[in-house]
Amino acid sequence: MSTLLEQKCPCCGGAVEFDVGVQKLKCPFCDTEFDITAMPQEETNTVEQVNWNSQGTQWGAGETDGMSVYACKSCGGEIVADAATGATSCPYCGNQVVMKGQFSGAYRPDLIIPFKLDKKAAKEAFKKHLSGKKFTPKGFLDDNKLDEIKGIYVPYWLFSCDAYAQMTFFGEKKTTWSDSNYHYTKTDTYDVYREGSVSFDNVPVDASQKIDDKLMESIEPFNISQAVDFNTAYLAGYVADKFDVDVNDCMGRANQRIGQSVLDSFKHETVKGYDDVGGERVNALNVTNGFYKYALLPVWLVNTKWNGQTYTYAMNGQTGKFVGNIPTDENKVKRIGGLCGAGAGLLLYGIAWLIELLGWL
Amino acid sequence: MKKIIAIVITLVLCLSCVVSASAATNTYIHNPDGILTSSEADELSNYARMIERTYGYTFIFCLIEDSSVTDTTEYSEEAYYSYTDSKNCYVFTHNTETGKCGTFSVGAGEIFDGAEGDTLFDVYNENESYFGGIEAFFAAGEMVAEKNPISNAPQNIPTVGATEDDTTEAPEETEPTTEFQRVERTLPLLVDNADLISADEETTLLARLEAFTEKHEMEIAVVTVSDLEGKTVEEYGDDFYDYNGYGYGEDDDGLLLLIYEPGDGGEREAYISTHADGAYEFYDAIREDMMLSMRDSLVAGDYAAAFNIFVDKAEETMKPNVSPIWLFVFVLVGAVVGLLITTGMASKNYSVHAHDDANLYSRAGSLKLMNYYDNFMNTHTQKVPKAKDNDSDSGGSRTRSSTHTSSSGRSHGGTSMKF
Repeated sequence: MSTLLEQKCPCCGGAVEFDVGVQKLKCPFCDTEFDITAMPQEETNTVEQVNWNSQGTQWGAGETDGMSVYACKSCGGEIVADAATGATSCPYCGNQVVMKGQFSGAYRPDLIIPFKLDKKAAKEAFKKHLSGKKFTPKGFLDDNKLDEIKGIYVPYWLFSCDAYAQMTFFGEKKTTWSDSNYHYTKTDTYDVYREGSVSFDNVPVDASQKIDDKLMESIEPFNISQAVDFNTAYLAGYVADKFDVDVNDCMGRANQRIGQSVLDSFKHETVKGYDDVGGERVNALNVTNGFYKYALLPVWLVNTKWNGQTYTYAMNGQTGKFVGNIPTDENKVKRIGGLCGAGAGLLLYGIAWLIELLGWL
Repeated sequence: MKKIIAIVITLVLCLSCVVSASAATNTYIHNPDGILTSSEADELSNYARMIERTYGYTFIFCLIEDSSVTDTTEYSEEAYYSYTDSKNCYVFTHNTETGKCGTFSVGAGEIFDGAEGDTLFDVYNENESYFGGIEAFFAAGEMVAEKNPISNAPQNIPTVGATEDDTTEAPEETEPTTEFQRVERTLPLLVDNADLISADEETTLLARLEAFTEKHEMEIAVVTVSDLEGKTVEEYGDDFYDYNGYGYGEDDDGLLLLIYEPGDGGEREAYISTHADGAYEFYDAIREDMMLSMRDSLVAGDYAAAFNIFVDKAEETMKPNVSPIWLFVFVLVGAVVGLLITTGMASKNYSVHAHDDANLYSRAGSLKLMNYYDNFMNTHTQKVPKAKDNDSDSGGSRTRSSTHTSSSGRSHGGTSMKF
């Protein structure tokens, strides 16, 4: 059983939280602010940078799917959390707790981007996201849900590498001319070969099973340059999960995205002077100097149910980008589209009559 | 916007008699003091008109008994400007009070300023009566005119600064000209030469025709004949329309119904001729429909009924109407477009998409090309024959509206029916 870590205010003993506005730890009871570095540290651990290809030291295999039981330090209540939960609030007394072992040793994140936008901003963004969408079913926008917005640090694997590729394309050059009887088109076809490398930094892949990957990709990009070294103090006040998708499983997605990017940059930046380029084939794609980092990135999340389906909304806690699918009232779409369109048609017919009457047709 | 042009032309059709009978102008003889009787004046007037029509020379004879008129030459000049617009004119004034004579000539009329004019004066003088004298005067003038023909030019109002061109072509008796000269219509919209309907029926029908013409700016005419003068019913109808100046406006828009009733039990025929806008509005199908609707009445000999059906059908055609097909089209297209728009708007609800590339994460400037080649493989030339223009239809591009060219060179739409 892991022990829980609570950040206690040295002045009044209350539980401190990370305050977005000042980017420091702040005690909500006595308003004292503390620098991150002032709080007692967790043991640090150097993070190994592993070369992909060499398949060196493995990070731990996927966790067991069991649940763990923790005892709240403030009230003693038993908290049942799944294996991935790293920080949460106690359901009994509301205090923020951090499950110590989740972020130590092999599981210690390399980087963390602290929240730059607070809950208020998140609620505003949510409201704005829902406004102006004419075909949302009635009753969907409900103020209750706004309060349920949670700030959560999502675990990510960040992949950096040099990608080396060999590609072939077909290039076509066209010339046209005509004489009195024919139009001529001459097509010259070329075999195009390109070989080179592109470098990538911090391609993110969502390392949490619970959270939808597509949703996380939609709130990209995060500005990794603003990331700082990890410190558990940042977690105070937010929910955090540790990774439960193995890095090797995430690698596949990273390779996919990197591969596509390499293709795009080669095709658009190196193949020039043709009227048409197609038939691209990747003959080789190698990743060298690859390494990955484990990072916690800030996201505001809220779930809502409608008509038996769950809709999740996310906001990038650093940039404020808000995404999430909103259900559409299909009937309303068809009704309004059809009726307004038909009405416009009727109007046009009336106008045609008017023109005819005035004798201009 | 009609320009009023006084045109003198030679007509083949015998209708010139009708025209001359109805017109009773006294341009040619001026008898203010009653020296001649009115019937004498009329007869001389007719003679002079005939000369004008035939040879293009306008003779004006003023016979006055007025002590206040001292300058007969001036009087002649004033008479010219007052009474005619002719460009080839000779005016002769005899003031019996003073015994003086004066003349004024214009254009070809100037031929009489010399010896020729003296001849005319002599023959006038020799005659004992005024009537006989003037008659002889005209006869002599006619002879001179015959020997010195001028082209029968349309007599235009002289416009300031315009070049007076006396040599414009006019349609001759048999040859069609290259440019058709439009005529002012002097005949009514209803010409019942074959006497198929009663006078009362004529009045009502004529009123309908004129009302239609005014309302729709399109002349509608009904003509009945018992003699086609050797032409086909199409030729006759088209020519009647063209040479009598039927048609509204600059383009002569209109339609004409011609009924041929030979009278001796022979085959009767009907023909509808259309021109310009008339041809556009009353296209093939519509004319055929008109014919079929009139058929029963025509066969039965109830011409008044047939003509009224004709006008009814014409009214119906000219009514402003947008085919209801368009209603369906507009509504359908509108609904589809509306649906597309709202679907597009609704799709904004969906903001979650996978990012299949890592373009945001590629390091700027890190693209290094190590090796490359562009090898020419093959070439292929394709040739596509150019579309040739098809010969354009001779009668118009729309199959629904066929036209033919009549003897005047203008194109008419036409449908005929025997009954």
